[in-house]
Amino acid sequence: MRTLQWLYEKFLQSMLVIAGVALVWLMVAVVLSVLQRNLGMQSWAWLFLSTEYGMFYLTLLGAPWLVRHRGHVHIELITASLPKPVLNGYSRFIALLAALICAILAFKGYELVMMNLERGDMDVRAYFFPTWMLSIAFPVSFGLMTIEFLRFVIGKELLHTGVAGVNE
Amino acid sequence: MIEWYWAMAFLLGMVVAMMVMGLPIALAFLGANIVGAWVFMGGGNGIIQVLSNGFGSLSSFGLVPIPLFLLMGELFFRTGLGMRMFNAIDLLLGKVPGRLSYVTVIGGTGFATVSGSSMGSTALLGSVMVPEMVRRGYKKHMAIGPILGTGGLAIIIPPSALAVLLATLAKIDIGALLVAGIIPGLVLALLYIATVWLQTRLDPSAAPSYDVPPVPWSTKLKALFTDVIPMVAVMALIVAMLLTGWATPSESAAFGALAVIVLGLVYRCLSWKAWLASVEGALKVTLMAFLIVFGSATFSQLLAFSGASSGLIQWATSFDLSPIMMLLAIFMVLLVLGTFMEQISIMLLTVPFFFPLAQSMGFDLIWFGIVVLLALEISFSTPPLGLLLFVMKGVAPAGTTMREIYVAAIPYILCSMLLVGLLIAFPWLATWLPSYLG
Repeated sequence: MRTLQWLYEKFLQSMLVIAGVALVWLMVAVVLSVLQRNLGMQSWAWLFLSTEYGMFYLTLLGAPWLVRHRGHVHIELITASLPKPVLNGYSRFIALLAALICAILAFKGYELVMMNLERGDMDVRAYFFPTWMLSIAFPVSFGLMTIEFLRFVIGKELLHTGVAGVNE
Repeated sequence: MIEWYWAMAFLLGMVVAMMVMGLPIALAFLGANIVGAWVFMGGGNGIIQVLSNGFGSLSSFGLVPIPLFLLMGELFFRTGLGMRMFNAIDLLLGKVPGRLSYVTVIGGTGFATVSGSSMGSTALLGSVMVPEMVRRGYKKHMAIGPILGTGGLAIIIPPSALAVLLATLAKIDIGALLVAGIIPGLVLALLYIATVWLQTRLDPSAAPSYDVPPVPWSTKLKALFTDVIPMVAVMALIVAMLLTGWATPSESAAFGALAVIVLGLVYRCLSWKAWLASVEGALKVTLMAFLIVFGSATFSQLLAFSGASSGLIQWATSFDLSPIMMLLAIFMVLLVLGTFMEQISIMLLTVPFFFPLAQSMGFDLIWFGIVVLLALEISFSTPPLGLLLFVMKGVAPAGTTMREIYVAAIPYILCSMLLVGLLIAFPWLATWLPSYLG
């Protein structure tokens, strides 16, 4: 069980690292393409493409980590007015609702990957790119987000702080 | 087919209810999309469409400036370059009554502008300047007010990540919207300075003057050339690249971030720790914003599909309101939403309605974009729930009440309102610079 948890943590961390590298890559790729253009060369088309895919991957791969750090902005209007014992139950209910939404998207994401594989779908931009290599991010990301929200359902910590305002 | 108003009430009601319940905003949009797609887009396949739409909206080159502007701002914070500029402006001002309030307005404007994050700069300036000013005998409103005001300025002066997002959602020229914010932003900064001047005239005890050691001109000039001009030059570089048409907004954002890295290296303040903290900070806000954007494509599609967008626009235009009344109505809706919602959600909810409506009223969409940003900026610091007010409460000295923060915010909110009035009377304030775009 401990090994499994260790592996899970490492997996989550590695996804965060990829997201961070993708963010920095956006800058590098754009600067490179401008330099090429100004040196009279044709910019590599894959540079442009990598920024577009990079934003997609970084969002989905980093999202589960942000759930753990309560980084997804939420409004504390009702939760701020609840007494502590009620907040404890209510916050866990909201986290369960969030987990349910993510679970539905993870399942539908899995269906999408299977459909892309069966049909051999390609994302057609500067290059032909197998669509399943993009859509695979859906079941992975939303699946992990489901787990992270479930931690707020059954774990010690709550999703909400109980302090009024918009939390970010 | 159900009537447009039921469809609209159903979709908007669902999102707002889920937000108010305390679901993370991105999840509220995605949850509403799931139900909406099930109802309006043919069951389970509609939900798959939600995912495909999300991919389409995220993999758009137009969004690239957002993470890069954020990275640039984080680097300014974490390397201490922003603080260097701030201290230099403090030094340059010398002995002026209410000096620290001016320092906060001028330094804060520069700081918020280069950092691109009003929340970050409010947090930093609030924790640094408010205790210092209170120690010097300043009344709290003289410290808190300017910080709240200048924090909001970051939204309209480039590089503004929020302006890029608005332009992307509204499908208007990103570069033009960024450039259009320059003059209104500077006017707003001047209005803030006038406010401080008036406050110190009306109540000199609110900002008592105190002796500062005399600083030779050579030291001042050195501070200007080493700590102010290079930082401001980064912003000028971005604007110049946009204005001359040499680079797209994404490209100028990439060069802006690169320029800050170069500055960090030159000043020997870009440590590995600062670099990692900057990437993590930029990533946090990017992820939060982009996951909300992820749900946006489907949500606006659902509004269009169910007839809610066109129904509302037809209904609103059937009143034959004058353009100015329509603008005021839009402005009021944005202000009301801003009292309990954050800005990205407000944009996603209202852009599908307001921009087509503005177009039908014959408004210049770039000008309208600036008015919308200003409304968002005002709502950001509008009592009782403006986000900046809570950030300030979090960092202000212990014992600062919410009432004190509200009172401090009001004159600065009025300045922004005045600017909206000026923009209505003189639209060229926002449209003149974009007309020079290369």
